[in-house]
Amino acid sequence: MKEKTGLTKNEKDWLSIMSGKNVDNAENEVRESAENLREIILERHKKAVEAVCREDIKKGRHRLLFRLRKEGLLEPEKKRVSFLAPLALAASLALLILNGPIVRQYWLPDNNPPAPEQPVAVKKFTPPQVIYSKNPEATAKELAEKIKQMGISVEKTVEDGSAILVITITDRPEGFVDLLKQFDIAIPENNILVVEVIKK
Amino acid sequence: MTNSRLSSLLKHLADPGKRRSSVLLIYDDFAPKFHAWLIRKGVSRHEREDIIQDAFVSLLKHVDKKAKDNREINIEFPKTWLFSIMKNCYNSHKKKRRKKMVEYTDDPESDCCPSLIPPAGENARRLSLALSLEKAFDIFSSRYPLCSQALEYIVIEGVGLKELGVFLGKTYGATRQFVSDCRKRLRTLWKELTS
Repeated sequence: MKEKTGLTKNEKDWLSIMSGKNVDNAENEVRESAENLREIILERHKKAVEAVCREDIKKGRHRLLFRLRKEGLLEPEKKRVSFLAPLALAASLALLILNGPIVRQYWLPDNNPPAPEQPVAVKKFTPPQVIYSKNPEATAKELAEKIKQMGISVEKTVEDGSAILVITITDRPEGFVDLLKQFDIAIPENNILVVEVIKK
Repeated sequence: MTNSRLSSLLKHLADPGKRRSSVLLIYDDFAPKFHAWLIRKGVSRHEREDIIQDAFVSLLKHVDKKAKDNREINIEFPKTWLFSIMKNCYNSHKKKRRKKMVEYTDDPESDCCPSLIPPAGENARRLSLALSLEKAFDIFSSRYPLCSQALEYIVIEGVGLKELGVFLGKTYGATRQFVSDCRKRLRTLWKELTS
């Protein structure tokens, strides 16, 4: 007898059991064949999944990005700014300010009247935010993975027992702010968050 | 990954600033499944990667086309839709490579299939229920690849008829008839082996 779906009861039961649903009043033959077939398919699928090498997926990621760029479907990646860049910028500016009078005095012709002194805009350097952990590498890895899962780019560096994460905040997906709060981390104005995980 | 999460990532693909991260999130979730699916079809590692890349290229081209027309991506079953893109890429790849594969036929009486008679000396009756079904499924898969793909998709993804229709590219009514035919074909094969 055909039901609402247009399938007979046996066909409907078979389909439901195959898709993993519980059917109480299915005929024995229907149940047996559906359950056995489901088991065969799931076992084969499990073996196939086990055969997928993690390394292949990792390499496949890079190759995919390369191909998408080649096809013009992805913009070239912007160079990542090191967390030391603001420090280097501040140092360069400081050097320029200190050497300014010397350069003017000895190297530049003194034809022009000295310009009135202007306030120098120095980019504010944001120090890394620190988390203390018994196992910095594991904590950094855990935090990095959670953030990556939210689609945010994270660069991880491990040095001398501490780990540094540079997080480029392009988006604030659901749960991101709460996750940072758990670690007592605030989002900086420039949206480049540097977190250092240090051994307790 | 849930359908709603994938749906939001598909929308992010239209935003150049979010495209890279969204592509990678989708890839990380679907690549192992796609690989597994293609392994079951006997596709080599190198070819699998090409097919998966083709699927992502098609996906992004589709997104860009929609964006060009100022239309938003709005798919009812995005996971299955993505799987169907990969399946189409697999079919194109198969055609390109001119592989010696048995082509799917809608005609159940087609005579293009291997013999259903078990090899001499093999007593089908001695086979256990599961083993005979497994054998029947192997023959069924080589004879009706699209049917076996559909059954695998039902089992692995737990989809219903409507969503299966998206995977097969068929209407609801045609999908219903197709599933009914698939079951009949499998039962016939199984009975032949156990009789």
